[in-house]
Amino acid sequence: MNASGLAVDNLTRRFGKLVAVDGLSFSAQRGEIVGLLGPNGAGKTTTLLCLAGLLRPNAGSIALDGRKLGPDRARLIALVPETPEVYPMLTVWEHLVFVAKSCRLDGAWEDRAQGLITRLDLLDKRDELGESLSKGMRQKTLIACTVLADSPVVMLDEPMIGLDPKGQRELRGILKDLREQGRTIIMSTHLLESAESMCDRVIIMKAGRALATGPVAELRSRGSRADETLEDIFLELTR
Amino acid sequence: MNALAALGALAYLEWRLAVNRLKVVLHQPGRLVVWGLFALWVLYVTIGRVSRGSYVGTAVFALPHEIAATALALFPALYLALMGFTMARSTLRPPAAFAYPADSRFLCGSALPQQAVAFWLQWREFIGSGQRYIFAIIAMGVGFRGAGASLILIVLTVVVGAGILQMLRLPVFLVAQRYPKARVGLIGGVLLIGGAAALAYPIYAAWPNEGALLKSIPLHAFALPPGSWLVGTALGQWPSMLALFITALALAGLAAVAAGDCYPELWESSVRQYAQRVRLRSRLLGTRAESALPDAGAGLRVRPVELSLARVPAGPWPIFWKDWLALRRSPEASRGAIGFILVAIGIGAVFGFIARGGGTETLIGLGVGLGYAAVALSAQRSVTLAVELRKPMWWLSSVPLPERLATWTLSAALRLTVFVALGVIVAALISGAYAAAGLVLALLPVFFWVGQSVGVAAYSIFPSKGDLRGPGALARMLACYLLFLPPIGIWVVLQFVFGQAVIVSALAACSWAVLEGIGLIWFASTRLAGNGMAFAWAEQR
Repeated sequence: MNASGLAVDNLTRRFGKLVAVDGLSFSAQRGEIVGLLGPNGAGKTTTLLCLAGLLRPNAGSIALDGRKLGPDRARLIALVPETPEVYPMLTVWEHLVFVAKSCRLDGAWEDRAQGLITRLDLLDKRDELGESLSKGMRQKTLIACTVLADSPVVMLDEPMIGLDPKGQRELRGILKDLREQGRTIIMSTHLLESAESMCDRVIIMKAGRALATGPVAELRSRGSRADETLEDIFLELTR
Repeated sequence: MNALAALGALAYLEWRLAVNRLKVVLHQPGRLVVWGLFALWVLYVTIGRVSRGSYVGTAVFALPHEIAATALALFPALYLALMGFTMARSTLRPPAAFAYPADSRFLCGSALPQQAVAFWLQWREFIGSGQRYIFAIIAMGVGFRGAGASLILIVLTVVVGAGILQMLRLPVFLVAQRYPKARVGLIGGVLLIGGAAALAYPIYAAWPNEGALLKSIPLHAFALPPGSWLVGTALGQWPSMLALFITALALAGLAAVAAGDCYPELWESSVRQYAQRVRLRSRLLGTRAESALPDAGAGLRVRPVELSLARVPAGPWPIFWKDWLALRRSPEASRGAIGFILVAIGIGAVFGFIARGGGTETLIGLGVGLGYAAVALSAQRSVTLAVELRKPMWWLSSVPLPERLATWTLSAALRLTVFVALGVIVAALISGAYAAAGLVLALLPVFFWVGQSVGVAAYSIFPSKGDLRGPGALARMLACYLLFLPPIGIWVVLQFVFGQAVIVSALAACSWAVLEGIGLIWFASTRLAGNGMAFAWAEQR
């Protein structure tokens, strides 16, 4: 088991007869961005929800820095879900204040929060209510809240969907910053180019299982052609 | 994080949600005026009832004494059965405790202790439902006769009684999850059977005394706690109040103590409820919220149904076909329908027994009470068109909007009619009042058609959920009363002035009522046409 970072062992989650995640094992080190790839219904979102403590796995264990995680994992493993749900009657800034209060952040949180909303182009939306935000703005609000909460593991489910080009660039920058700070980042995405450019390693899933794991270059070297793209590898593995 | 700091953070969340909700209303002059008028009316009613001990609506009707005495005598058994049912059900499925989808990110992903969050969720639900009951009894309960100190006691009893049932769910689930050997479900089952037996026995024992059935039932009834404490509280007995207060506190405390690792189940249950609501509103034809659910994560199942597309009706009628499909496809919807049928049969049986055992005064009191309950039910029924209005399919239809809206309204009205009609049939079979039941059955579809049309028209004025529950509900009730006056007038004039037959008078009155509904639908259509998305957005407020 990897002592530094997140280690998932034999994670299994069933819904009745359907096995959504089937004995999935992988690790994600500190300071690493891991991409979770797979066709629709591969079990990516279910995996993220299990890790975030929102679904109880039927089997398996989750450990962070060698310590097996229990009910407190929701605090340590933050998730930005695919559907960015915010409180309709809370402003962008109030979301950040609530995160600061509920996560007992130190006194410097206000400067960090201000920096985040500036970077994510949310400054002029600071006092807008959640109900009036577009999907992209809600996504940015959730990203700001998640980064502010200072969790050692940050997971993002389809984070680029709904973001404008500037927002996508800023998010890439933020994720790289988090990686440099030693956070573990897991990102589920269908945008293979984005995964290829950002992720240190990818996990290609299908039917709840990991078909291939490793850096893109390594996966490429296993293939039949040297000029294969991640898309070629993905389509070949998941057909 | 200590409990005090955690509760402080949660209080901040609730406080800001409430303040912002108020600010939104204050920034919209139209809504401000409507809410202002509504607040004044509620204040007038409340002060009038509590201080003067009277109210303009008190003369409308009063529950005959023998019905009230019988109901009070049977209440403890009924409450015990309800508690047992709640306990048994709670062991199978946790309550959908998270009110907002955002709770999953902001509460579960926080450093707040789960115990504090569970405690808070309990009280949030208790306070929310308490407000609704207080409003329903004091402001909407036009026919409710309580006043002064007795009114306060009755409100307290209803709020605490309903609150205990609600607050029971989370601790029961948590205890059953943590201590499977405790067999909480079995205890619930025993209480349910015990309560049902205690409910049935007095009726069985009083049955031979058919002439005075209602008077005999209280003599054989059991005073079982905690229902008897609720009755005691309503009658102003301090020991009962104390016992109830301790029970409520114990349940809240138990939830907090047992809530060590409960987020996954609460989240799953809450997500399932959001999806169910959306699915039932959208009649199962796929929505954004539903497609966003993690695979089968919401636990919603769709039963495969063989379709014969040749049988799909033309024009606006596919709306009926869609509703029928929803009922067949969704096990949750089917279970809900079965539940409503059982409740309708149960209520029908109770009213049948009361009608059988009571005199003319009882029957009149019962009729007026039921009529009032039907109007109140109709006014409180939610009208949510956002799911339809958001769909391109709805707007792509070549059928004119008034026709589609009328079909949608008719479908909703008939769903309610089916359940109530079942209750009426059961009541008629027990009481033997076949002629009265036949008349009621004939009038029911028209009654609910008008009620639902008023709802759709009110929606086109107050699309916001909050507005529709507050001033909208009051406006709907008043509109229902006003709109029922002309058909009643037509009936009376035709039958008693011109000496027409009952059927002719009833037909004329019903025709007028149908036309009123069509007028309301036309009014709603003119407001919704070309601006549907604005209404869909406003509905979420």
